[in-house]
Amino acid sequence: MKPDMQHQKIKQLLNSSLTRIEQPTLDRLHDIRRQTLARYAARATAPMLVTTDGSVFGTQRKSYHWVMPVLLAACLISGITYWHHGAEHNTGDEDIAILTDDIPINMYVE
Amino acid sequence: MWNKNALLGTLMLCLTLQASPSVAAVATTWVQLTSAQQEALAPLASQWDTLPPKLQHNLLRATKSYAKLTREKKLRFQSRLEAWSRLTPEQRKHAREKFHAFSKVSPEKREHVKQMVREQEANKTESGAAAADSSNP
Repeated sequence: MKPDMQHQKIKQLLNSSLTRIEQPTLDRLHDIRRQTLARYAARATAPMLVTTDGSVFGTQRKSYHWVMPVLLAACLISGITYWHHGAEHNTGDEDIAILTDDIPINMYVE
Repeated sequence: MWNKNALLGTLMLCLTLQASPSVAAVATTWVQLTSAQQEALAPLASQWDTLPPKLQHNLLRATKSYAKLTREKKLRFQSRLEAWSRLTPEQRKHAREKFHAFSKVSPEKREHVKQMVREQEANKTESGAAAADSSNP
């Protein structure tokens, strides 16, 4: 059988199958299609962030992918802030130690 | 699991928040200081408002222990403030590093160095006084 003829045959079979589907089944399929389109439209208007590779980061997918980055950001920020303040505190302690030390400042600067 | 873009976004968010002005040191005017801070930083009163915020911030941190100092150390602290504020940030950083390294030296060696410095200072004072005497017959 030639490929073109085979293609036509398949098309005919599919069309004939479609005409044989019962009305309640067709109604259910229509309902499902309508609901799916409505959900898609609602998601399309929701705020989201689409990354460069096309993956979605936001509310479009009902997932919690954002939780881990936000938690990591919070941990990083608090860690850096704690370290920053700790380092500054040490600087203050060192400064007063240098300013009150037996050795003059110029000895430490030279 | 989340991809590298999410990680990159997280990192950029952290860096942005860390670099924001709210986190950076804010300038404080002389009149905003407490009386205790003004007492400790009195030698810098006239120039305080012109000092870089970062230096102000460090000096204010240093004054936290000022009240606990002995009278001698308080005087030494105040006598060195001006010289300290005139240093560049790099010089202050260098001084801290040197001080930090010196604090790790054994107490005996530290005392030995301090003794040498005292002798050097005494010699300078003596030679200064001798020079002043010779110039005033």
